[in-house]
Amino acid sequence: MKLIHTADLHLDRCFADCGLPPGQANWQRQHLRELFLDILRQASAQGAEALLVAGGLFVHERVGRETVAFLREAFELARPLPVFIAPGRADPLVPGSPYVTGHWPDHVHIFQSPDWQAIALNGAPLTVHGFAFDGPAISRNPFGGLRIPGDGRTHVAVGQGAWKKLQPDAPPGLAPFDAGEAAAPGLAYLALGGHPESLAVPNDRGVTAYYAGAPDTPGFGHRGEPCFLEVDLDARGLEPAVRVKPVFSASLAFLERDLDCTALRSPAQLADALAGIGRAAKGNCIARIRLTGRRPGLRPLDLDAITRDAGPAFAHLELHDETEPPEDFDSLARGHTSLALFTGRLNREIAGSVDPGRLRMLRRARTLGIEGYRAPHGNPEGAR
Amino acid sequence: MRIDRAAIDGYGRFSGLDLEFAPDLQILVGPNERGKSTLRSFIADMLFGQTGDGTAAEAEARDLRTPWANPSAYGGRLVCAFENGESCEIMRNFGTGEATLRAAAAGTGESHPDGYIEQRLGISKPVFLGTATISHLTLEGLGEHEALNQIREKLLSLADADSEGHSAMAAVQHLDAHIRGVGRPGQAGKPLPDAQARLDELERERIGLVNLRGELAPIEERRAALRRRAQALQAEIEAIERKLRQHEARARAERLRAAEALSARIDEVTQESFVPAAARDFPQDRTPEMQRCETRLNTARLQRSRSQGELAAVESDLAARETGAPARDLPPPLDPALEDAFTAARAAVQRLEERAAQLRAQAQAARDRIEETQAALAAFPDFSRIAPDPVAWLTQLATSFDVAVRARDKECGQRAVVRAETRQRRERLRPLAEAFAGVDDFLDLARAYEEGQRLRAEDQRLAATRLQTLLNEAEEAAERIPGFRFLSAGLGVFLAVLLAAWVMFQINAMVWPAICTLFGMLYFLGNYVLARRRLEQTNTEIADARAHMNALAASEAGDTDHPVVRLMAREGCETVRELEARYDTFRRQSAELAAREEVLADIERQAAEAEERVDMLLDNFRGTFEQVGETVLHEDDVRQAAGNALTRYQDYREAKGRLLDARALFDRLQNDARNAARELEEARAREAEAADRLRAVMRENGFADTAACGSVADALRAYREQAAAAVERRGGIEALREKRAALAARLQAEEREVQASERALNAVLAAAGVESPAAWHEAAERAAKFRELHNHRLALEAQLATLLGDGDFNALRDAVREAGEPEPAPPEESREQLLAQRAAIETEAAAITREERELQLQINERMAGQRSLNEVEEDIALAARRVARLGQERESAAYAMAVIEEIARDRHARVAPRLAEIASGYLAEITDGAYTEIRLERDFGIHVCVPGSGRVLERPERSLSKGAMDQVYLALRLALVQSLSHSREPIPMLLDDPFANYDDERLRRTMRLLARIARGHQVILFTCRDDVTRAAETVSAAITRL
Repeated sequence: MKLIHTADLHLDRCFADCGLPPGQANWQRQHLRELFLDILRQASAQGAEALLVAGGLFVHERVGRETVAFLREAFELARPLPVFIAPGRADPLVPGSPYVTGHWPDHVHIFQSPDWQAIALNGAPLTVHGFAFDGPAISRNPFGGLRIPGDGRTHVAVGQGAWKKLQPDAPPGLAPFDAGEAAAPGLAYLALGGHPESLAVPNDRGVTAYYAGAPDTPGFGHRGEPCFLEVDLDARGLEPAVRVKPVFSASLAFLERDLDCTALRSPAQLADALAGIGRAAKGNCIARIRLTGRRPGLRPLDLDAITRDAGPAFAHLELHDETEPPEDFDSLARGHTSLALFTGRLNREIAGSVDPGRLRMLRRARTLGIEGYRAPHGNPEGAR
Repeated sequence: MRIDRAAIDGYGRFSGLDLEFAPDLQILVGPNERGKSTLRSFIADMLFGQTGDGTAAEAEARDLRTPWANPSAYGGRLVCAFENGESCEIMRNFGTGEATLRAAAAGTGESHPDGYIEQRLGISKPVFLGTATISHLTLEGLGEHEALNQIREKLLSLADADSEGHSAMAAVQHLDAHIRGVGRPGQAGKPLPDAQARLDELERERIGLVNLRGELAPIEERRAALRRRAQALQAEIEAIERKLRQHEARARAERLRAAEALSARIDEVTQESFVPAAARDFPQDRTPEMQRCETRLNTARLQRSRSQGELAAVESDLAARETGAPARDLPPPLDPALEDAFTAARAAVQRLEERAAQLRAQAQAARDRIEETQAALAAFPDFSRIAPDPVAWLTQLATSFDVAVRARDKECGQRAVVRAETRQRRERLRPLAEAFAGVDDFLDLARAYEEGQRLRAEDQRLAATRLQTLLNEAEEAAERIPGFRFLSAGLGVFLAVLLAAWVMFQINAMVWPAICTLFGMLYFLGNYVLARRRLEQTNTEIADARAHMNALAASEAGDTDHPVVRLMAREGCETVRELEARYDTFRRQSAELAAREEVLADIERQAAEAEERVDMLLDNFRGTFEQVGETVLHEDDVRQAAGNALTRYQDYREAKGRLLDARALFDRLQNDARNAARELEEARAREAEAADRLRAVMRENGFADTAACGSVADALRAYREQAAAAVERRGGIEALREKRAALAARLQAEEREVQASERALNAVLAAAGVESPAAWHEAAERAAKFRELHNHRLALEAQLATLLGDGDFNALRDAVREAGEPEPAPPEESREQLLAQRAAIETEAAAITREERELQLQINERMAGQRSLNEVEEDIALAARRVARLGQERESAAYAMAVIEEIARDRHARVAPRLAEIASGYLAEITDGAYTEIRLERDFGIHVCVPGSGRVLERPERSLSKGAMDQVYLALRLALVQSLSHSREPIPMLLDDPFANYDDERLRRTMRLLARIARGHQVILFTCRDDVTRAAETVSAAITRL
């Protein structure tokens, strides 16, 4: 018996935090849809018994009618693949939710209560237990309350929750659980959602439990490869044999890194270095690159031109210029001139500053001040 | 530090050159293009190494320095000595970049790092080049106009950055221009305000979008409810369909049973048809022909027998009449045409009378309907006077009102948001506004306060120093007084002893010691008196100094009332800088608040206009809708009123149509009635004419009873009776005779007819194979039976075909078998009921679908052109990042500016007095007292004092010659080097022919000055001029010719 387990797709999510412009973000949102279609296609092609969605199918506050229509059509295309959806905190089962207002095909089963519900699959000895978040915070934590009957059927459970090992301070509204209490005796597999990385949840009851992880990288600062899970269940023995295989999805990577420009001699070399980073990622990444160190030349970097030159190597490139001019600030700070005193004071303040924002401000102030001392008379170049 | 020796392996034009330098003033003489500047560059490169900024000019200069003769030997050796006696040997190869610095004098070979010289001198190479090298060009560059300003700028630059042309003031101006370039709040066309405006616009778009989503939510919910209802109805329809299918199954089973019964009946009929099948081909269709022949024969035979009897009767009657009385005259028969004309005219009159009555009744009905419709129309408003196209007009009214209400709601929503935001900003700003309320120019006030603080601190320091000095002096004086007193007293005693000895013993040799003792006593006595006076004076000065200190302290204590101090206390700031930061925040937030208030004013105005427009429209619509019979109390009533008015207009239009139809019908009926009346008159005239003619004919024919008859018809009836009687009588004998002859002839003809009929009948019978009509009838009965059975069978087959429909028997049987056994109990509702229910549900579902589509359309219209919330927020994030970046750029520039201002203020305040003092001495020496004092303001504003007159040249460049300006500049530059070298290793100075505009006297004086300065700071002077060389010789300077 094969099951497909996914979660945290977050269709129609906003990419403002990732710094994507709307055009690129729209492309990314479309990519999420295609990703879900691909999961459905693979589930159908492999003859899976069911698709388990452990919450986070879409973002409730932002989901549009087109996306709801898309989901309906996608489920219709996947018919008769049974789909079990456990609404999570991003897509809770609240009045006005598409889960409530939408007309879903009859092979799509949406859990309707924050308590455990059981749905027996027709034509297969499989019973799926699940619950729904009834708001961004669930009104009562269902973990620990699951009871599995000894009816000879294979029982799996699906839902979203916060593993206390990962989130020790998770409030009750996030459905926190201990691995032991979540693994009800008799359960063959626990499909979890609410964590962006695929992760096993070991427990002493021998129940296989996994976070599916997001099939798409949620944004910058997340580790782990995006994937969904193929779960093979063999319930012929006394104890069900469960084999979980991650299926990595072809998703854009979010690359965030620093590039030290000290060794680079010109903006062209910098653009080449950036393009090299993009090529190493096969152009399939959204990159946020912080330029650090000493920049080539005294003039500020023309980020637009560099982005124009290196941009084709990326799906999207966002540059943050934190370079400083190729100056020996310690040397400049020697002496008793006001330039030296200014540089020395800024050097000291920079050395003593721990706040990144203030640090950036101070570094820039130092650079601007030195530029001011050295600028030819006349109007300086305005900000760009 | 001084440079003792330079050995050039290869550097520009020099190769293998070895020079030794005097420790003080060293003159290097050479004509143009002999490498003076190259040597100067060599010294700097040797001391600090070759560094560059990578510019093209720097690369070109480096190329020029590459040895012309042997590029591989690029470098040399420099020996220099420090103030403490240490020496250092510097060896560099600029080709390989190797550098060796080691202690040279002691021979220890101790190595130093590459930056050793920089470390010892405390200055970098740029600083060295900027301050310690004074070239001809730097002086020429002063020009003639605004020279003092340029000198001031250069001094500021040297003081601030050790390089000419880069002062703190210029840096501040540059940063201020940079801030202006970034833009301040409310400054259109600049990046930051534009970005902020874009961000505000996006925020408004986001708020509008959120509001719109809120407004659409109830519509979405309604739509979802409709969809749920539609789904429920669809389920009901499906349930009905199931019941209908049950009915259909039962009906199909019934049909099968009926079809099977029909099939059995067909088989029976077919079997019954076997017996009469022999007569299948009997020409039954000729039965009428046979019957006609038979009837013809029977008729002919009957006619023949009747004619025979009639002939016999005529012959007997004739015989009797020929024996009876003759008949009298009777009226002849009338002309049938005349009779027919009368009858037709009479019938036409009757018909037309009936038609006229009917038309009158119909016209009355039409009139009644017109009156009824007019009464109904009177209840409606007269839409025809309201608008040419009331539907479009009402729709336009409702739409325009909707648009106005939506616009008002949108504007009011934005107003509420901006009001809240402005209120928040105002509240946030209030504490700072209250704090800075009475302060007109805080920055000047703060600067004045700081300046006062600094001056007072300086005064206090000076006063303390002076007090300490005075105390020391007083103490010293107090310590000296007892000594002087003791010595003078001692010497006095000794003198008295000597005098006593001389008087007593007359020893002349004691005179001179006595005189010396007297002088000593007088000396110490005088010192004693002077010391006492000095002590008293010092005590007075100490009292003054203490009073001054107390006054300063009191002044400091009095600062608690200073507005800046009050502000610092109020704001909890420890430094003025913190307070300035608060003030900056206050100014920035004030500007932002002002900008927001402007925006709020615009939005208030727009919202008020929108509200006013809605109210105005509502007032207008109240009157307008009253015309169509609708009452509008509230704006929510407008749409309902428009809908009601539209419905009323539809009813009005239908009533109008009915009225027009009724009027047309009435007109047509009236017309028809008029035509019928005319035709009736004509028919009556024709009837009267025919009656007159009939009466005339009847009178002519002797019928005198016309007048006695009630009508012409009665007269005609009577005339006909008399005419018939006359015919009967007049026939008489002749008639009987004629009749007998006619009967005889007819009898013969009838005989022939009988014979012909017999032949025809026989032919028909023979054709059918029967011999008699009875046999024909028997056969025909059998054939009819067969035909009946055949037709019955065909009818049954047609029934069966109807039952089976398009399918065949087997298909029906298969369908029944596949359907299985029907439900034992039929649905409670009949098929017709179910169909009716389904139709009703479908009607409701259609209405729901229509409403849902309308809602969908409404949503689409409202959402048309709107971007998604995601897109707007993503744009907001980009704009916010840009605003933050530009804000940080502005903040960084402002911070750099503030720090530079603060540092420069302090530095200038510290440097300027010392610089002015030293430079004044130099200038007085160069000009031989023509100018003795240079005054430098804190911002390095330069004034030159004219001795004797006490006049201060505030714009000396207007009074002084170019040479004098050069000398002022040189004095200040030399003083600046002295200032920078204060308490540090002396910096050697490299002068490159700076005396272009000097006269001989001042050149000599300058040379003497340089020689004197060179005792503390080594001066290496490069020149190509003989007069400079001669002047150098006068001060015994070491001269080396290149």
